[in-house]
Amino acid sequence: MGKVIAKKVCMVGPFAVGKTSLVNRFVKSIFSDKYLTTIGVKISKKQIDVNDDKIQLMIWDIEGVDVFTELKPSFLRGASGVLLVLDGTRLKSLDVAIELQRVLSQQLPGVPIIGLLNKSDLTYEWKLGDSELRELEKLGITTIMTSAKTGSNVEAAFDSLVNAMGLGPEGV
Amino acid sequence: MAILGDILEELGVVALEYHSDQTFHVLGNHRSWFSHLLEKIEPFSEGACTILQKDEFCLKFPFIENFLIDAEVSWTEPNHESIRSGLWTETTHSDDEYQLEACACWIDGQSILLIENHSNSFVQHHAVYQKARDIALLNEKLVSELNQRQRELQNEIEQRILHDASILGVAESIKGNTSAVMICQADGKVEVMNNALVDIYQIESESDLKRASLLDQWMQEAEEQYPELKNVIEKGSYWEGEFESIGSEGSSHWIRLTIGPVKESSGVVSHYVCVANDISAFRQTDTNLGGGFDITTRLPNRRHFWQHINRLIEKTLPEGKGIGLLYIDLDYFKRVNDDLGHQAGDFLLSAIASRISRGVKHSDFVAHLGGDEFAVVTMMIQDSEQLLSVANRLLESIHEPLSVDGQPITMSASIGVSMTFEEKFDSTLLVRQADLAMYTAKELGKGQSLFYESNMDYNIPHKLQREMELLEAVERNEFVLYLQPQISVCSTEKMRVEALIRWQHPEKGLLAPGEFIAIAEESGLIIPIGEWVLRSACDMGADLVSNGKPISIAVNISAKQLKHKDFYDSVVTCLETSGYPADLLELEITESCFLDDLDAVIVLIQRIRVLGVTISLDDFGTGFSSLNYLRQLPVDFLKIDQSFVQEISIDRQSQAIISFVINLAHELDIEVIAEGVETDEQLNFLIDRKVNFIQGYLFYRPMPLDDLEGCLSKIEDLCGENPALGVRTI
Repeated sequence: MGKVIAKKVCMVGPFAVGKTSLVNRFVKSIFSDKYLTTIGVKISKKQIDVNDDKIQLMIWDIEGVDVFTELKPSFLRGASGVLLVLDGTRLKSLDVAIELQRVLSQQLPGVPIIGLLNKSDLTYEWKLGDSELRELEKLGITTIMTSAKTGSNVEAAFDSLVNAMGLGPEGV
Repeated sequence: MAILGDILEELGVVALEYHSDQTFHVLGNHRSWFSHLLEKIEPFSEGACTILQKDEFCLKFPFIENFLIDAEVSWTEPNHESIRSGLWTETTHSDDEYQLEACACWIDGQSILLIENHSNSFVQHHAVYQKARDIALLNEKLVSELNQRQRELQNEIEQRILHDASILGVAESIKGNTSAVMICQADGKVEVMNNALVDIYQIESESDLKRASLLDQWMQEAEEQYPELKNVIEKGSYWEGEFESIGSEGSSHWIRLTIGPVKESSGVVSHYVCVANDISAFRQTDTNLGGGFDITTRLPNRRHFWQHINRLIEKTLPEGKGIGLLYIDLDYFKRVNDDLGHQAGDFLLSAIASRISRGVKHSDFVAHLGGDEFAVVTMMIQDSEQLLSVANRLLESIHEPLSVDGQPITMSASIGVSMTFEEKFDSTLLVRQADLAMYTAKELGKGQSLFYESNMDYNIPHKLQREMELLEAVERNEFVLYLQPQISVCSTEKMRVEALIRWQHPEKGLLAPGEFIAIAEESGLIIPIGEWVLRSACDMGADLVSNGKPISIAVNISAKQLKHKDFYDSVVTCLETSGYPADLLELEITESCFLDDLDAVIVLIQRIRVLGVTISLDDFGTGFSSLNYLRQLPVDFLKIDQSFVQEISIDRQSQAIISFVINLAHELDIEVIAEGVETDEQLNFLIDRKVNFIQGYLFYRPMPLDDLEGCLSKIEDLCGENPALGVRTI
């Protein structure tokens, strides 16, 4: 009989990069084109099976960072993994994400962070090139291109995070 | 009270009173929306009162669980400052959403958790944020398009010069362009400029601007942010960036500039094409909203700090020159803030910020990272001595007396210092090293500066991480209680032990209190840990009594624990639940317990003593050790600190102090325990001075209950005899 392991993961990133859309796609398999900004925090739960165990992911969708809002460190407390979300069509989201990575590594040392380059369906507007990706790599962030709209790589992103948390098929 | 319920209903607030038995009592009739949320759990009722178990409440509402960690700290702190959780969205089983905010406050001696329902006002609140972010998104898009158009214009002009070779023809085409354009020769001499450029610099005639050598001015202005600019231009490469530029009348503009070389067929640069856009309006928005700067101190904030330090990564420093970082944390700032209020706290922060700024070079970067933390980034340093000298200068300057609302205040700070001489250094590592050094300086007594050393990584893992580990340890019950016998010198009546906590860490093994109690104190976890110790000691004591061994157990009580409003009740509960006789329980307090409010502590101790519990004063001699306190405090035992005992053989003053304290205590009918006794010489001296009890490795180390039971008969033999002649088991 497998056990149920509850783990907190945080969705962090600049505003309007698609954090909530990624959660909705992953948890409810839905997507809306309309941008609805998140205020504060919303926690969603999704149970996934890994080998014989069940992992209950408590996904903290945290309000995006902008001039009004800074990331509140207490929201990160106890997180086992972080998805740092960027908008591949907005270069500025890279700058904010790099700043956030510093905060995350200070607040959650040793906790895995995976960078999601979201909106990969918008091929013609894509701005993040190799040099930008290298900047993230230098900070030790593995990146995955995702699209909440098409669902591309969304499950894979969460699976990779679970793996990096040492709970995946290779970790358990 | 009915009207109060209606008021709370009107405000959309539910008030819960937190009790020491880990339950929340809903005050008044709870609201329909709250009932809806509570479908998730099964509350129970006592009369008209609805009661929620904390565990279940937390399990179903993880946001509240996270907030309660901060709430419980605020409830135990002396000033009981209210704290807010920030907004969160809770979803019911039927997918209805509520926008809530929690507030922890202290009302009439009770720990209160307010849950506010903001769902009704959320629509308007959300609309404002939505609009603001839509505009910000549009703004970002416009900037991005502007940048793209600027690059295209730059390229177009370069191509026209190359193909037409007619500067004058180009001049005519760009005259009315909204982007500012300047074309100059390789030596900077201006050949063409358009009206937009004249507008930005607000000058009367183009000739003035031509004489001003604008290219040189730009290079100087941008150099601090873009030290590579000069090299790039000299090499004939393209460059773009944003910086602050000063107009002819001293007005400041943020401009976005692109500089592209035009090369002859030989490869020699003949001209530079410079295109600029005034982006002050975009920057202004950010500044007006406080972005980048701390409101209290007006210094760059944490985000700005990281931007700055990351830009330095790209900077090429001369050989042998490095970058230094000073991480400054004010000591006891929280206490000052609590005692004098936030306004005074803010004033203090501003004053310290100003002292730090004045104490460093103009070119150094000073930031207020938040709370009581500051950072100084300094360039072109040669060695650690240079940095430590700056740090010590700042320590002195911070330590100068200040007057706050007429009260003289003296502050101190702990400073961690790190430096790097590496190109493309790891900025996170540099900051972490300074942070660790600062933390070590704090641990070693505060008010000092320390340079980072590699062993600090091992000794001082991140504070938050350690707090988390400790929190998990509380939840997983990873603590064990050891008992150390106190050998009676002059009577056989009493068998005594001191209960000492150990942490059975899953990776690091058995940890002594010195490795975690300070963090427990700081994080507020000392309350649940202290309660566990008290409960476990009473349970152990009761087991011993039931085995025919009535042994007195002394339990250490922290100042925070003693001041907790439920402390008296928890002592009573532990005694009643375990059945351990009150006259066998002893509470060890230290001088720090009564420094803030001696009268209140005396009243509390008197109540506890009425139960039959005895009190001992621990670490006597290390703190203020006022004899006046000793006279007023209703204590039964006094423990001479081991630092005096250990100096018996080498320090005549320690001998004199011990003799004096024992005599005085006996005069006041207080018995004396000497702790940390390790040698025969110390033992003989103490016996000679008629100390009552001896505790130390000379006889027994702290041990688990099972081991203690195995050697009780030996201890009994030792007690009452001259221990110097007795059997010792270590």
